[in-house]
Amino acid sequence: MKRHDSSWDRLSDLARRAPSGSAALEMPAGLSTRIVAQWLAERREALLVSPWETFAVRALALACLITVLAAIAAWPVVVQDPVDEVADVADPISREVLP
Amino acid sequence: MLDETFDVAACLEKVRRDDQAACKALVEHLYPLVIRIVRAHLPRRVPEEDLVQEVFMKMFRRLGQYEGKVPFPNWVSRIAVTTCIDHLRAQKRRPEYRWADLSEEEAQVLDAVTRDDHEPDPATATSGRELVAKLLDTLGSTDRTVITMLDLEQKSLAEISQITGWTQTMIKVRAFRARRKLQQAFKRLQEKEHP
Repeated sequence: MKRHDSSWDRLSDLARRAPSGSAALEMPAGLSTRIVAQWLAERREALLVSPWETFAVRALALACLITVLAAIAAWPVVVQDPVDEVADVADPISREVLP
Repeated sequence: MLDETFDVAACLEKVRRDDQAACKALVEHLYPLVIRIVRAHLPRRVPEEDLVQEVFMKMFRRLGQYEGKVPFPNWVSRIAVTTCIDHLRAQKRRPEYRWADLSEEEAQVLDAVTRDDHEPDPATATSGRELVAKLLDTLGSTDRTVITMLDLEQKSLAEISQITGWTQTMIKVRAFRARRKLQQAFKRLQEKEHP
């Protein structure tokens, strides 16, 4: 790659020569403890919430199953022709009213 | 940089069993890698310690997704870079620096690098880095990340692609556009010097 062909190339070349301060790569005291404590607290919280989530999902599945079974059980009533019922009711009237 | 003798696989096994000491050892082992990335891509006004903490929390949360197809440090590097990009993206306002915003040293560096006949003084490298940070602030998050990795960290296209997941073509295109924007930023700074 052609170097120093622009102001940016010259500037980035110069910036790379800046001291990196390798001593500052040491971890600040207590940071790892803080991170791990936060993570483990989150894990504990997740474990506490988890049984409730499982219960809620299973309850939802059970509710869906009951709905489907109820629909199947009630299917003959649902598909019954309503005209017959009207006719049954209408018949006595018609017998009385009509000659 | 990273301790080569550290047994990452064994440590990960313990971390998955919520072993506190192993979690701590893993964080301490990866800290130099994460802090380098965070410092290279650090958005303005975001404390580096907060960003480091966020990277490690994401690492722990996603540990179940790590399948061992890439070395673990590479996987963590990707999390660190994407976390920085997310923060850079969240900073919608990009400053437009003027000559008056530069310190005396930065102005001298700018003068030196924009003159073809003049090689900048190596003693001004720190000011040069500060000027670079200001110029990078004017770029979008993706452009900034590409330029930082290519021109400052001198990573290869393959390395950047591995860390970010972007294609090499996309990286080349981004780098081309970003360098053009940087040249325009240089011109603007000079124009403002001599209106």
